[in-house]
Amino acid sequence: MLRAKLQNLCLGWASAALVAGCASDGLTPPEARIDTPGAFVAVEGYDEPGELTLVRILDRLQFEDARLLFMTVHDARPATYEEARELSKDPDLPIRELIRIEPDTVVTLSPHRIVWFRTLTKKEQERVP
Amino acid sequence: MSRARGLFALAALALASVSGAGRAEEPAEDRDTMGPEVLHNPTLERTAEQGILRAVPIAIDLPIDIALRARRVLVHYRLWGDPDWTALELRRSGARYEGAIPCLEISTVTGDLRYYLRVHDAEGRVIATGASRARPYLVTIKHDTVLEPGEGKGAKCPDPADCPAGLLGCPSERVVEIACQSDADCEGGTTCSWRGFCERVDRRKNWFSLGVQQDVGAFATAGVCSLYSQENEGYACFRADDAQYTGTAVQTNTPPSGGLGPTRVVVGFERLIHYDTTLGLRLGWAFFGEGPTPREGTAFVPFSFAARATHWFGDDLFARSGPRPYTFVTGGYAMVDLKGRTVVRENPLAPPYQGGNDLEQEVTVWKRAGDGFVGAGAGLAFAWESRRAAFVEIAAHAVFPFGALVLAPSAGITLGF
Repeated sequence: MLRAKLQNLCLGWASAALVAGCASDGLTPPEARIDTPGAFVAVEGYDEPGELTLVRILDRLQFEDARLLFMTVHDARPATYEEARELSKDPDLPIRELIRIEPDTVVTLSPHRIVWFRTLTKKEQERVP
Repeated sequence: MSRARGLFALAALALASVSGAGRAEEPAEDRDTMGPEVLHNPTLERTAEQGILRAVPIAIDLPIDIALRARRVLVHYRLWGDPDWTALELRRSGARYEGAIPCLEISTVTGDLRYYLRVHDAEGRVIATGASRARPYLVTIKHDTVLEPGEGKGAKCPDPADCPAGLLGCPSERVVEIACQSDADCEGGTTCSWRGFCERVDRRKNWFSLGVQQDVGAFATAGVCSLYSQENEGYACFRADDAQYTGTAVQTNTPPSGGLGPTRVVVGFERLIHYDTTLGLRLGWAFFGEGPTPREGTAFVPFSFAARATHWFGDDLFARSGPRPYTFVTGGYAMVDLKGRTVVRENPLAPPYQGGNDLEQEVTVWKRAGDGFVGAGAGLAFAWESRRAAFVEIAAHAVFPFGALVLAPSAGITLGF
């Protein structure tokens, strides 16, 4: 409640004085996680050792001691994480494999980075069986 | 006693009666606005004859109710061949006022001398009249040789140095400025000036204007694409694919944005209430610049309405042509659609309500600001005639309750009536 009030106060100041910048600049915005539907993850060594593969998380299935990830594998070979991030912003990025189901360790045990996020469209959600 | 003197005596005797048969001949507006006729004489008796080079004496005994309120009694006269009327002030002696049209004014010109009387109160208002400009008294100035024996042959002009104007027994003083309270107290094409005197100026008090106004505005964009803001605060955000943004945005501190608002044609009316002050109304119609209305959103109202009070810098600017700088305060009703851009950051951890929203995306923001506003501004009008002017101005409006800061430059013409 207090935070909401402070945010509103910040809005009021911005509106009244047209100034940019508030205390909430210092807040860290929420980030996507490895199992967040819609997240783009660049995984090193997924296809070939030392190469980055760009996958997109469609869904997850949580078991008691394991977790399955439903992913789309994109047909892209970014050289760096930054390049992977830029490629992810393209909504028409080519797809190599529409749906692949893997344990999350395939990602978590390899060097990886969540490079982008986009909410799933209905069509993308329907890829999950 | 001459016939003229006889007439004045008759007039004085008639003072007690302020109504009579002769009044039906006067214009209706005189009766309504000028007070009672205190010198009631039938029209046919409003004439006299007199010789040249002699003063025309005038005396009036006011009824007590008029005398109590009277401050000045002016005699307005016009000599034969003279296009202008001249005013003299009569001297007071109790309830009696007396004076004379100077004999040097009469000189040797023969013909009809016309005159009438007006009684003013302390504020300059006309409270009674004797005859009128339309139906004046006549004194026919004749050469001595054509006068009847013993008629109109009083003392001739004295040396002006021996008898200065205004002294008792000497000619009356010429009145340069006639006090007034309103235009009704003035005549002969003159109007009542702001100084309280009748003047011959082309000052228009009613002004109509026609102009074009372009709104330009700025508004805060932090958090404006949330569902709450779009449903309750007049915002609408649209993605690059033209779909309205209905995702879950993270609160960020994006800078203010803004741009062009509606273009309006504005008609106005202003009334001069003092030489440097006008009060006015303006009606506008937005013919361009309307933004999209979201589903179930409030429709755009193209009409606008404003009241304003304007202060004009200068001395009686409306009496002449030339530049007319001014400043004003205003307030009224207007919807202002403003278009801007901002960046929206999606919350990945919130349940997604809309697909295809990138982690960060630039969206187009429409702000439907309004419906009330207050503001102030300044401008410059240039009158190429005293009754026609072109103007440019700019106003700053604080719009509420759906807030925005709007600048409203405008230009147009004004016509005085």
